[in-house]
Amino acid sequence: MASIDHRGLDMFRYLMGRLGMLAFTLFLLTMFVFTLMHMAPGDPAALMLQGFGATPDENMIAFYQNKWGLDQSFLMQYVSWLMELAKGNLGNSYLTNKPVVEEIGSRISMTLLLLISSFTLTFLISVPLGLMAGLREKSLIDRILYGATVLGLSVPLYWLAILLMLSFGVIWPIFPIIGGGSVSHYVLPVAAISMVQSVYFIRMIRSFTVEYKKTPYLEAAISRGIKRRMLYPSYLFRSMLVPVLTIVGTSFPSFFGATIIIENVFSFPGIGKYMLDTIYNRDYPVIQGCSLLLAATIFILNFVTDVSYYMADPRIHLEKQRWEN
Amino acid sequence: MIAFAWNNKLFAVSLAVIVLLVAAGILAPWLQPYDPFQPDYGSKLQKPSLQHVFGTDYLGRDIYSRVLLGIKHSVFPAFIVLMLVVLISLILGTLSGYYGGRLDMLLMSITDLFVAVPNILLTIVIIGFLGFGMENVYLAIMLSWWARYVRIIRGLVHDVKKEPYMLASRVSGSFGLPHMARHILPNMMPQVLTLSILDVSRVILTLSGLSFLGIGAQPPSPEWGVMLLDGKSYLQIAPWMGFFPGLMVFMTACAFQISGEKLRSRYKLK
Repeated sequence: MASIDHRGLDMFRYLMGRLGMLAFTLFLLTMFVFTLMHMAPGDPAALMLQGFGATPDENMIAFYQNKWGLDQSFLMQYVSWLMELAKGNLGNSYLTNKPVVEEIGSRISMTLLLLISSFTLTFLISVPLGLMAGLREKSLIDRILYGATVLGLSVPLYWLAILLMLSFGVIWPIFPIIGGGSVSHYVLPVAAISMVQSVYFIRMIRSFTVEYKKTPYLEAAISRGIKRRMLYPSYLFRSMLVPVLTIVGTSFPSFFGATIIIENVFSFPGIGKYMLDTIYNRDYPVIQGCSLLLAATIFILNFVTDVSYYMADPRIHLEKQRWEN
Repeated sequence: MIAFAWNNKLFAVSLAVIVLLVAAGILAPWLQPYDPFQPDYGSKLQKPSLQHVFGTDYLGRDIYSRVLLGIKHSVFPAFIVLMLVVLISLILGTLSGYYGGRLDMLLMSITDLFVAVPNILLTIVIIGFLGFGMENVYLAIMLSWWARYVRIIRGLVHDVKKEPYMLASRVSGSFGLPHMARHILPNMMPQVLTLSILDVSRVILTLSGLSFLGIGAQPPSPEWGVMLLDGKSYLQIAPWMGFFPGLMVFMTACAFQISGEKLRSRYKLK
């Protein structure tokens, strides 16, 4: 048993260690992205000049390579790129010649809204279903839900989206099937994402419920004769809050992956569609900026989840490590 | 395995589906009623009928023949990619779990990076910088999958190391590579195999998903994702064009998912 002082120190140590890891991961990320950018086919100076509308000859390319420092060594270029990055400069799009930050900024809100609403719906679907399945283990409803999650894990998201389009956009046209903007444009994309994503949540919440149902303090509460109506909210649900919040925190990558697919199926004008469009145009600074921003967001979110998890219950950190091992 | 399949009907059915699918994939050239690439403008966008069980597409190609040939383009690559991933991760994971120390720490922080990023994002980045082409798609999928496997295999090595027979083998003077090959690897194989069967469905979903996004296999190919993308443009007049390829992806993924989960509960894995 550690004393209170010890605990504070442990927490500080943990935080520093975790922060160091985050810094290292972000460093690796910038290395990775920059190396890929370097390996990309085509000369960046020529591509940039074409972005200005020029048809550059060799002299012009050589002049601008020198001017923009593109003739320097890999390491020097990396360092100066990092300096610009620190100032929040992600470069300009080859295609529109506007700053990448601006291009991303004008689309990010659509994607965020899509993410948040599908996340909320997923949560609303899966918490009651997961609890129901877990509390009535091996009952009919549990088995039906299990079957449904097997189907949900195997259904291609884009096919499901197309079936939704076909049903509610073509056969029974009540929702628009392409574009974005109005509220009704969100209905089908959000439905498709939530249907597939809730599968993971239902399974997780079910297994947590099954696990926590067997804890000694719950049995003690039952033997003390606490009514069922009181039992679950004040004993079971409270202890499940931390693990459930963790899956919430770590589910962002899979939600984002789903969003990229869905945006492209529904031609929804968010970041996911933008990224894919830029691939066709070989707009490298944009691909670089988007991937850097998104990956960094994911790493920072993971960091926040881990730390808040640890703050909530330092024991869990040890348990989680064991579980991963 | 046979006794298990006999007692578990659902497992038997999904295994049969897999066997049938693989057989159909190999025998496709002899089973297809039409040439999957030959356009027939006289019979384009036909509904499913006796002549064309799954209908025809916008060029009049028989969808059934294309879907059949698609097994070779959608399912078989997933096997190869996964086998490579398992091979690489077995080497890295075993080394990392067996020796620990600095190598382990470095590998774990690198895998941290790859585990956190969504597969699709990583693939888009790779394709975006290195250009289109199936070899880049396979590279991207391997890059986004290996980390998870290295971590799991490393964990399995840790588990195996705790077993009493490991102590016995150490005491009898076994160490290093032969030790790993003879005592550690065989004892994790059931888990690794089960995991990879489960993951076949995920790799198939990802591969066809990338083709559907237009960054995987390209149009004349009868890859199921490509056919679905074609079908999307004809949704209003010929919904069967996308429906059947999608159904095939769904069915295949389902078969692997069910057999994987049954095996997993049999070997009592997490």
